[in-house]
Amino acid sequence: MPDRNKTISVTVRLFTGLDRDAREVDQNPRDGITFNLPKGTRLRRLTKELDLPDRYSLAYFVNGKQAGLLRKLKEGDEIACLRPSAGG
Amino acid sequence: MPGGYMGKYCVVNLTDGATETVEPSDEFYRKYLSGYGIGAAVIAQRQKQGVDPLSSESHLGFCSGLLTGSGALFSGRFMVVGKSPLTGGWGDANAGGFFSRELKKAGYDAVFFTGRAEKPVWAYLTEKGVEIRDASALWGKDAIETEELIRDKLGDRRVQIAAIGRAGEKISLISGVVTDGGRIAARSGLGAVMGSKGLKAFAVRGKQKIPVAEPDRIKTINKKFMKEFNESKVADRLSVRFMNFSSRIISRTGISIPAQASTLRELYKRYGTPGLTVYSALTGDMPIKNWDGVGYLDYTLDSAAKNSDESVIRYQKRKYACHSCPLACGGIIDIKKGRYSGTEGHKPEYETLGAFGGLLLHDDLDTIIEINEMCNRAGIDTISTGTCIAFATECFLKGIIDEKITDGLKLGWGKSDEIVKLTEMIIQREGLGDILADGVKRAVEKIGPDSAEFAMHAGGQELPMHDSRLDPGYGIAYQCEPTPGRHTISCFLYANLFNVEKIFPEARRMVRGAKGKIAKNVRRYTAGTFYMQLINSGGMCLFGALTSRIPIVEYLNAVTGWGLSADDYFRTGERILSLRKAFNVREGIKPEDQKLSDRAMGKLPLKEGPLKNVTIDMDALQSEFFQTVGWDPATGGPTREKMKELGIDMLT
Ligand code: SF4
Repeated sequence: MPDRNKTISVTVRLFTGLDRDAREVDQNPRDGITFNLPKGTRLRRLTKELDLPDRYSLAYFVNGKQAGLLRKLKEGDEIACLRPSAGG
Repeated sequence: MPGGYMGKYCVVNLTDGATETVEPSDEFYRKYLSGYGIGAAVIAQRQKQGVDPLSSESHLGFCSGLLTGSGALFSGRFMVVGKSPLTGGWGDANAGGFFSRELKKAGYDAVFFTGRAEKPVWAYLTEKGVEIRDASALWGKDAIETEELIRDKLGDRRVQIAAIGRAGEKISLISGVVTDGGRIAARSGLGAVMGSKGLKAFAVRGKQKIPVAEPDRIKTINKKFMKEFNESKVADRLSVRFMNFSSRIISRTGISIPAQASTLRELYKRYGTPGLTVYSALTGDMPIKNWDGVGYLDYTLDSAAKNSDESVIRYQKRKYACHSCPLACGGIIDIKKGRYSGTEGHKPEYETLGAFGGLLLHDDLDTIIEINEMCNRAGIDTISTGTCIAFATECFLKGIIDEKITDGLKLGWGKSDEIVKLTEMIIQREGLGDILADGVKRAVEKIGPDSAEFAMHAGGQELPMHDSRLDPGYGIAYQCEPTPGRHTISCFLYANLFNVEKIFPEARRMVRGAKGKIAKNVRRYTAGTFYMQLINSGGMCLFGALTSRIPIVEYLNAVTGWGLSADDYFRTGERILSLRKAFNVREGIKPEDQKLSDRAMGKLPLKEGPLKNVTIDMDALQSEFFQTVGWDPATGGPTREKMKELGIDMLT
């Protein structure tokens, strides 16, 4: 369970059009939106809060490494959310 | 007459201007379709074994697709074919635009050039035949200027042109053929063949109707296709549902999420291939720092983001679609910096963003856009050029070449000015540029064996921006296909996206009959490459095949009236692939000549990132692939029996 007494701060960066589709925020979602979350929050909860479309089909990277939705977030984490792609 | 093809091709001898027109039988088209198929069949028969591709005896073909101009969607690509001076084996490349349809409207499925003009010429094809005209005023002009000058001269804006730029004129072995303001059939070095023949440009214009056996059926197929294509996700609903279940598990565990056709379609529609940069850099798909670096760690998220999706699209003035394309992945952009500042150009593709981005640890998008335009105008392959610069940079930093060789250039990762300068030198064949203008394999021969480790190629062709350590299917494509070092064929991921098992019952049987995961993947890959032969011979676009289920069998039957089964076409795909590879065998190319660079196999694996400790077993993959396609491991091509079985034994 998230520890409500302590909070962590993480940055979320959205690409592949998720930035364009994101709900209005003050910060540029490509550069990063800062979130203060209870310690122990999982990535899943954050994606829900962000209201990302088809969040189960997206790819997430925490500090450059692919991560699952059950990943517990830590202070200072940089999270990138993208639509998986191929080809080119 | 059945439909689809125009029923003739011609061979033009540039030495004396003689033209021979050939009208192949329906049987011939059934066997080879058009595009790569007709190209390989004609050149294999007409060109003698061992002919130097840069000599007057070589043949260079321009082929349309069997489905081009029939109303079939995604069918606008044309193919340039011939023996590759870069690899020494079969060479082909394709590009979009509107050239392919115009070639057919002029009444021909393909035109082949042989001989060599004494002075530079350009050729003009109409229904009346081919005219050879003086090109002294065009020689030295870039490919885009050449197009404009020819259009002005003819007073016809609708004439379509394929031309070489500076690089092809200077016989650079990494040069290609350009159409429609910068679409380029870049690979295999066929621009050099065109240059060696003194053929600056080939213009086509016609008004003939392209015959279609059942035009109403094409309309019905298109209607059904477009309904699914436009309704986001509907086409994929079933697989998405399945995927959603599996991706829930996958996304919890964090194992790689596979791309889905519907997601890709959205990405391509919005951004074209630049939509892929960040994802590719993070997953390990994009080779970083000449294949020795790691995305995120060496090429930061900020750097990748500067060259991806929204950052690139900011420059776009309008979308660009090739003939009959509903996806419109292309874009016309405003060039804001550098020598072409204030003009318009084509949006850089992912390959260019990778080759002049992550591969060089370089992230200045304005510079990449300038280089993209320089390369398009010069008619030089951006994948090969970027790879040559990465090679030179690593050689310089490791002390193998010095400032004497670089003409004072202090090469280094991410240095925009030096990268632009060296690109220019390659185009103009100046100093180090002259060494690099024939690709990295030949550069190693000049610089010395110490540099071989840094030359990223297979069979002499520089590797694309998709890492074979991430998807070993690319390893098979790079090492085993008739045109090595190419990504637009098949890989494990493509084969899944192509949905080959749904299209061809034989593919389903092939995959089901495999034992073990590797064998299954290799067989699916194989079905993917058979399928791509149909796509390429039909004049279709790979991106259509990746983002949707192209009704290829329905199209082929509706256009030709042949009424063949999916498996009949599958066999045709196999025939075309084997014919192209048999050409390599005839030209003396052995499997070891097409070997993938050690780094791309992870011989010394990376120590960090998603590809940490990954080594791929190319010997095992190659042998599984050769076994699946019935190729002899000693020659790397179809056995005599296989050739007989496929009816291509004229090459034995
Ligand atoms: S998807 Fe892109 S490259 Fe392919 S035909 Fe359409 S516009 Fe051309």
